[in-house]
Amino acid sequence: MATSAPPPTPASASVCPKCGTPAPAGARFCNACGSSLVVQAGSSTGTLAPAAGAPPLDIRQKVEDDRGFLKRIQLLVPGFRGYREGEDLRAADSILRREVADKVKNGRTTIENGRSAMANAGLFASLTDLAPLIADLMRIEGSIRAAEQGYTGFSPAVRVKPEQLDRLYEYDYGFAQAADQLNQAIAPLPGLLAGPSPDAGAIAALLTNARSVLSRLDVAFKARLQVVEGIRVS
Amino acid sequence: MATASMARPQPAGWAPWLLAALFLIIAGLVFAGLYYAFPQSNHWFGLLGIGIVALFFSLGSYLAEAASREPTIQRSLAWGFFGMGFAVLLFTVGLGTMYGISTLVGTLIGLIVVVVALFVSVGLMMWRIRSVARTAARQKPREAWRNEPTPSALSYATAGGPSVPEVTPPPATANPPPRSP
Repeated sequence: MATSAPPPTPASASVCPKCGTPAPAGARFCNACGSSLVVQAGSSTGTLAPAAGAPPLDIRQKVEDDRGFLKRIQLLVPGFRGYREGEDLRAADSILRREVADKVKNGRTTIENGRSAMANAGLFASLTDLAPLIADLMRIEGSIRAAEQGYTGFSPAVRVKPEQLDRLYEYDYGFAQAADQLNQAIAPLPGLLAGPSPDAGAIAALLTNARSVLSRLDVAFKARLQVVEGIRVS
Repeated sequence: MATASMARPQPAGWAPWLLAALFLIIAGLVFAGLYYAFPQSNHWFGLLGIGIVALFFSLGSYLAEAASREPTIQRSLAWGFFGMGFAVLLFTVGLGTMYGISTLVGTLIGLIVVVVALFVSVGLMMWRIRSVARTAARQKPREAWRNEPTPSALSYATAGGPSVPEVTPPPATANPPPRSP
């Protein structure tokens, strides 16, 4: 994993990742909302999940390398080391999930911005389909942001060890890419709505595809702890 | 794949060695002071104090490992003072009867206390060594994960399970609602 960040480049997509407004090629800022269209490595604008074939970004290592003096003293206390390591793994997983939730939020913003354009175009049937999608996006974003972190009590029925927290992080990492796929499914929406006579069929197909992707993401996310704890029945 | 932060930290030059040398000089002065603070036949108490202070120095050196990412010097000092502290205590307490300073019962009780403290310390050390080994063992699967492209969550078995709800396109409405003016 390279630590030297690559130089920022203007986003290749001609759509603002925040508001979904189409942007002219080479633009560095969105004309509508002013958001930066420049993609920084490791930012929440879509680069957490690297390109196919590229090695993943390990936030766990970053958190562990950045431990301060007091945390390192805790690591020296017998019996406290496991707790410290577990807390750091949970912190890394929390940072990762925040990134994923931000990606889902970007997708929701794109959809919400398309809503008024749909109303203006008279695509009321698509609007009906849009509401549950937005609701699902909000719910899943919240679930990801405030998900369980694998805490166990003093005498738990199923103990979550640091090894399992590692697996939890690696499991959760897949959601960064899944959220990117979701955003890719949603990204053509502003373009479809931009023309004088939007294609209702194409928009309905896009929304159906987005809901399908979202359903799979949702079900996989709900199963995360059971999978990691090894208590998943099916 | 290795990041710069994951690379083994380089020693910080001569400064840690200088600090360690200063610490050793101060420790030597403290030990000498303790020894000569009890003159004549009372050196036994001075040796007892030296053993206890050496154990405190050992603990301090051990905790000082947190101050550096490459704590070789602190670790060496901790082990050295640990060995010295318990050796001095065992011999001092054990030979107390020979020099007529303590009774046999007193010596036995003292030895039991020192041996119990030694066993507790060794037990805590083993605990920590095991947890450090577990941490090291966790690095192997992490390395393997880092060196492979990660799959999308949509390719997880759970994402395609029977519990995933069917999403069908909305039915085509024969009479769409009128456009607002």
